[in-house]
Amino acid sequence: MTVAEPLLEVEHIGKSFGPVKALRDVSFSVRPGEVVALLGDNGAGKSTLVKMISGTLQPDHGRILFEGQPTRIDSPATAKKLGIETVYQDLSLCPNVDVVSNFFMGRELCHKVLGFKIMREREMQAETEQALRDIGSHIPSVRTNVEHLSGGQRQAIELCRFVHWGGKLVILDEPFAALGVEQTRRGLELIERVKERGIALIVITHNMLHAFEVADRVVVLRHGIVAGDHETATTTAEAVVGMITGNLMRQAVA
Amino acid sequence: MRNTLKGLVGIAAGAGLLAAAFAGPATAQEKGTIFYLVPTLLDEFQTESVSSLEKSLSSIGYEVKTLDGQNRSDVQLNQLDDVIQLNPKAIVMAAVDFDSVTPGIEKARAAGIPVIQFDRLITSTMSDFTSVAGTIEIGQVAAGEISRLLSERHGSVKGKVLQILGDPGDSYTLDIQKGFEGEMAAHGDVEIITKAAMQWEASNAGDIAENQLLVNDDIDLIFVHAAHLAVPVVAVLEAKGKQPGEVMLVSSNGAPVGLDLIRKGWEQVEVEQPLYAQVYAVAMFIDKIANGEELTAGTYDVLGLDGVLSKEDWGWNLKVPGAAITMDNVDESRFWGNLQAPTDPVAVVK
Amino acid sequence: MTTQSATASEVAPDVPRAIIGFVLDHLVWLILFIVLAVFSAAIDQFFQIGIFINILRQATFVGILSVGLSMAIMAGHMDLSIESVMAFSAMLAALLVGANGAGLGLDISTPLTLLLSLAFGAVVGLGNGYLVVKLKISAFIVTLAAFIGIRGLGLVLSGGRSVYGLPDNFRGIASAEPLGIPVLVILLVTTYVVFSFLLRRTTFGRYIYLIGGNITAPFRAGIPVERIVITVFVLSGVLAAFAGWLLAARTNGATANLGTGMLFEAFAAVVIGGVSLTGGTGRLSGVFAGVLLLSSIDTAINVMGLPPHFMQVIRGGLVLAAVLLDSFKTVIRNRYL
Repeated sequence: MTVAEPLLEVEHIGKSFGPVKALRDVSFSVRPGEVVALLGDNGAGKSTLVKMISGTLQPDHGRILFEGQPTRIDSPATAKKLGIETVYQDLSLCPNVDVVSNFFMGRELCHKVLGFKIMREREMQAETEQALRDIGSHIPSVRTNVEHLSGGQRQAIELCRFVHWGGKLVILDEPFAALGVEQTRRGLELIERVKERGIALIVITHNMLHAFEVADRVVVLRHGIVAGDHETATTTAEAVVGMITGNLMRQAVA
Repeated sequence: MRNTLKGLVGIAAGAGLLAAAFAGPATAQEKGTIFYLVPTLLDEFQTESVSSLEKSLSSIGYEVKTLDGQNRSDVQLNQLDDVIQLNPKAIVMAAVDFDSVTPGIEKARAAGIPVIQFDRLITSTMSDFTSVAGTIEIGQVAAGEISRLLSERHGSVKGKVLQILGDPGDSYTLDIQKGFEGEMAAHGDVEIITKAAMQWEASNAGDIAENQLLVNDDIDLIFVHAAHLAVPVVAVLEAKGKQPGEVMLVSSNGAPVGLDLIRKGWEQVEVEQPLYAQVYAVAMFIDKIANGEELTAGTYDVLGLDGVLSKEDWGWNLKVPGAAITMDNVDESRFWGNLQAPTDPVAVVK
Repeated sequence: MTTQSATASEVAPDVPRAIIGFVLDHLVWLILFIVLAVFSAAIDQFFQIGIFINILRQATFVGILSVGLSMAIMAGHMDLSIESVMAFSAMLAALLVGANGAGLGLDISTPLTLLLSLAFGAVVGLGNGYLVVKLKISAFIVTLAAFIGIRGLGLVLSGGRSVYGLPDNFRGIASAEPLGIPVLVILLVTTYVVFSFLLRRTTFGRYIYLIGGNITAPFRAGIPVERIVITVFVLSGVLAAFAGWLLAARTNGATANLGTGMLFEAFAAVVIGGVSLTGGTGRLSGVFAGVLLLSSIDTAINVMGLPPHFMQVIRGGLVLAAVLLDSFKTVIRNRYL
């Protein structure tokens, strides 16, 4: 692993919801082209952490540095502008519109005429078809509304979006939850391909096998703090499970 | 696919049924069709005008079709537009709103269709015929009756009268007020307090009566400009523990509720709006109007009342006076409030 | 990959599928044409240009209201305030320049009355949108309050009286018929063309559908969701105000109860037109057909002189039929497309 400047640094951030402390004090970093698996039990604070990086939540304290600069990510739009893409567990698709509209959501190609942004539908359609072909997905018509597609096809659109748009940092929240074995394998391949383009990834998962297959490093959250941060090469699945459940925390840190 | 077809056939059949229901019996009478544009059907005067107009005009050979304006001037304008396309013999209308329908009236007359104003006078454009109650006269008759009632109570014409108008935007109520106050001006000892019930809304009249009886407990008589406004006033009097007649009540227009209140003793006088005579006036002149013949000014006998026909700025105008209804004559069938439309043959003016 | 669409394509060849799809998308138009054909055949004197122009002209006000309402519903909200905004805007314009009744008879140019009316509509829309978006109050509650309050405001403004006697150039908007086509009809059709374009071809329109479908997704995609929703309410208010201004021209003034019931007519038209109340679906072309369908029925009832009590019953039946038809459409679509 080459030692590059971190792309994203999270320093001592915390977040409470009323009396509940979701995150107490979390620090970690991601380098360009690095895949970090974010692990932890339900309620460990993974989702809250991701929401702060992707701009849907603001930390109560601590700061986030992006490319070395302290940055306030106050909305998903800001995150987009920085180059942070997020693929959510509960899918960010609109079932009532077609595949093209979903694929280009917020990035529509358009002509500006008299202040109106008129969409270039044909180009968007061609580009969507190409992108889906590239990741080897079969969706019969990109003009079909997403509500008529299967869960796997929907996931494919989401994955295709991050592969296509990439940016600098991609956050995947439980990306394989709805996928079958074959599709999961293809998803893992996609992660490799994105990584090769120098894009950093944060992958949230419950699946230890997946984590060790794609990640360079694992970061474990427990009760709102970082319970472990290790290169995958220097730790084992067993040790990580221990960190998640709290049994081996001291030994692991030591 | 078979289900789809079944569904579509079902829809088509439904549409067919709808059409059949629409088509209805259409027995055209020999003299042609007359449309009556009634402003609303939520008022007994209007519903009774529909049935008596249909009865009297069909008795002399016309087919009458009635359209309800639902108290909306935009709806009535639409109806005028539609009716013009059908080229009827004449349009009889009672305007929802006095001036908003003038463009429609002008359009109809420009298309050669005679327009007859029934009950609601429109002065801002020409009509071919107008049949109205003498509203100023109604106010004058009411003033005479009220003077009589006050002098019966106090020995001379004096006391305190609460006058409750209808909507102050309606010239009908303003004319009654004009007639009433003009006559009462001669009696300086009578104090008149005047309030308006917005939108002719009955509850507004009730509120006015309640408040005024609180601040003026010596009110002798309440004069409301329509019988339906008397109903909440009676409720207020009852709630205050008054006996019928303790505070006298006079109303104008002669609706069924008014006659009932007379029978129960709450109301002393109802000055009738001569609905049946107004209808007969239209029927008497309709042949001449539809044929574009010239009318002759003068006094005509309309169901026993003296109707005065004169040429005004807005065209030929026939005014029928109203009669005073009291306990003594309340059951006479000539009053529309008894809802017994007259069967007298129409004396068509030749 | 086995999906519904894959199996369907094996059963039905592509061309009939496309036809079924097209018919389903434009079912309201089909119904409209059937109804007009039946009326023309069954009702004496119905089939003539004048009647068809009347149908269009009479659709103007509910038609323009329905555009704003459709957009609000498509965006997953609701705008009940439109009827009152329309009535108030009519009252405002009429009051300023009306010569009789409660009118002030001011010497203001007709275009200025239009601008003031539209500005009023925009302010109400902005208020509605702000409360819905920023304070997260249900649009139903917010716009219901506006519906009641603004109707009352109209009464305050006029003291419950009517206004009439507008300047000739104001009234002329509603009575002018260049080449035999009423200006009102031209404005109605233009409104539908412009807003259909906006909804189908521009990003603004696309975002309305996205927001109505799943508001989280466009928000996460960095789309300014709040701004779009507020804009929808503003447009809805402006359109309602425009309808009101035209209504003042049509009725040569304004009354306190002007246009009562039009909100429900607009709702009926929108639902018949295939806009689902759950948001995110529908086309303005369908809504236009819905408006024309209602207007055709009113006109048919006028032409026949049918007892007018039937009107409401028929309307109610139509709305119910439209809803049934909508679920029927979904069944067909799932089975054959």
